[in-house]
Amino acid sequence: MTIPAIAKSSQLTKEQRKSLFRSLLLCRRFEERVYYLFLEGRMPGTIHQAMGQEACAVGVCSVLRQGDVVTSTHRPHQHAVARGLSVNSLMAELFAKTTGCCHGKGGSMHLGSLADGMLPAVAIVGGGIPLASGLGLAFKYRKTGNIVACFFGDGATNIGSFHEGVNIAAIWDLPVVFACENNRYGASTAIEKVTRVPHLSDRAAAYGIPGVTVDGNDVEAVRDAMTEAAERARAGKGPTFLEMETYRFSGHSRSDPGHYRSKEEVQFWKERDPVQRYEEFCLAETVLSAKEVEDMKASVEKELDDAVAFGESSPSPQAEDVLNDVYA
Amino acid sequence: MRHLIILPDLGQTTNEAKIRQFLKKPGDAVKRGEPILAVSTDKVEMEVESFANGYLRQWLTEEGAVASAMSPVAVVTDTPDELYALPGNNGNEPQRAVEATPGGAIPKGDRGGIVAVPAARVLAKERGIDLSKIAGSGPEGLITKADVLRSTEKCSEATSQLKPGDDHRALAAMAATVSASKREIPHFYATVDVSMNHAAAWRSQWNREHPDLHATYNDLFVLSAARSLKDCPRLNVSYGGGKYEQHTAADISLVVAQEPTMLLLPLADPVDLTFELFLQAMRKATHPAGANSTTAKPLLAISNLGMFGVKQFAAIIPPGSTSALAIGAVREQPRLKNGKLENELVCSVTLSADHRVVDGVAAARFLERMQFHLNSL
Repeated sequence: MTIPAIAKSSQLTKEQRKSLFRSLLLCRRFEERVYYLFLEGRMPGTIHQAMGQEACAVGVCSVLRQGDVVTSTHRPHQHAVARGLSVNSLMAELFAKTTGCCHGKGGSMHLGSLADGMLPAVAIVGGGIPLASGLGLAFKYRKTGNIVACFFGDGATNIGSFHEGVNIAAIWDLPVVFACENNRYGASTAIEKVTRVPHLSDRAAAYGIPGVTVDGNDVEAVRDAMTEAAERARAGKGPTFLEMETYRFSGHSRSDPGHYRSKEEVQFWKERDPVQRYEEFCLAETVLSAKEVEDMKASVEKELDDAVAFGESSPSPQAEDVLNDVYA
Repeated sequence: MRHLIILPDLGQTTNEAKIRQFLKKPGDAVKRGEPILAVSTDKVEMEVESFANGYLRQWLTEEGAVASAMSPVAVVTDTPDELYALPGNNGNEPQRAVEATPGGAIPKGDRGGIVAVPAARVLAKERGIDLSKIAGSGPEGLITKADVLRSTEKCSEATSQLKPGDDHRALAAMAATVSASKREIPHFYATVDVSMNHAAAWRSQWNREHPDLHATYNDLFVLSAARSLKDCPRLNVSYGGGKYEQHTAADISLVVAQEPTMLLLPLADPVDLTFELFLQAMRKATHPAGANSTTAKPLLAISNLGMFGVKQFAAIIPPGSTSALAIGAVREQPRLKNGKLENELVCSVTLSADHRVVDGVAAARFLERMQFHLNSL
């Protein structure tokens, strides 16, 4: 079986491609780093990781501008990294330290910083969708020209809030892109066991909005589709449902070994590793030399070393901080 | 450099896991991200990976042991023969690695057509049980851990011994439960010898007429107890957190032995059922695949050791319940009636009750009603 070539985008410069690759690399290495910290017992809590889905987060976020907002899920690490939140503040948050993006009180499932363009993640499946439509309504009302990229998984498309949130964005032409990372499993349930339509994007028709399915492991394909959806949203023409077909290499969470998937299936997708594929593309297209790739990997590792040191050495919240940052 | 591989905190409902199998042996090279041992919890089987490149030097646990999350399970070093310290030595006393214990190969599941939860597979493997010979009680024949336990009970009598390396979590759970019960609940006990003459005759007749639906003494006791509970609403009151709550349904919980401990199986209020439907409800409640009543909130537990010839005993009230009825063996004994010696069938039944809820009079009334209902079958 041949692996499809990267759908080379017509509009990208060499610098943009380098930036996409570095972002993919940073997402992957960030997740790996977190995983090993967890194995070493240095980082608390179970975690939901997205190794294998990098091209979705990076492709979508690469199109966003200042003032645009991302909404996220229980699997938010890469959305935050790709949106450009400081890796220091993310690592510190995962270590539950005061220097974290939520002052150490959010943790893995609530990463985010509205000032940096990401609403703290909502871990309830489908819970971010109505909020995305609400943010879209605010942007439209205030005529800011901004858009919302609303990330959710395949499982969320069978949640009631999906219907309500997408429908209201559709009828009011709200500037939202519904970015569905279809990694084929809602926890351990295969999407085809719970959904009759072959493509989740077919559901867009029910709301009278465009629905697109792209290779979610091809960062340029994702970026092109997102560019079109974002332009539509900024032009006041309403939302788009963007389905990105991808795969998570890990289980649903650390305590899920993923035995419900065959080794062949996992292997099929590992051969379509979005980071490896883009590295090969960049080398073949002479976007990067082998030396530049190595340098970039070293700089990413350095950035993460620093982030881990920063996070681990930062202070923990104190008892007197408990009433800060709360409404009631 | 020394790296201590820990058992990760797997979250969910447990903070410990059983070390199922070593996938590497001391001296083996290990890579970052490579699985080195297989563990299982109540919910999952999984593999633990090394976070470091290097050489596995020593196991700090053994196969079959239960390890706590975050405890070190193995030593990995960067080079194959460097000196290293064991945890707890403060790094001051470098030691040579101990000689290897033989490790095992990665287990390959023989999953052909058999549907079983991971814990059941592990248990079956440990005890050398063929899963294909076990009927699963779960959905679509899914084999559960309880099914495997039940099958071991059948083939190995109930005199099983505890062996080193056995999983003692079920026993420890029982220990915690009964300790809490004895600590929290001020028990008192009342015993009567009920006459079983009528009930025994009634049962013989029923069994003659219903060869396919036999009744046991236990069935008669359970139904009579439920009817008695209905007659004694004061006993059907729960207590917790300083609050009392009156229950109306005469729900019962049945104490059933299940190696190595026991189970409490709920039976929804059977008082209004015909005897035939009651027997069916009993079979359903105690069947392995029993769709246990989820709405039942039993406050009375019934335990029966009569089948082992136990004459009389007192039961511990399960937490959340108000009383427990302990039923002994039905036995013959002589009785003087109107100056004449008669043969009588009797059974000693003992009610343990929570004195925060009821007093001796309520217990006595209940036992009096037991005799009434056994005589009114």
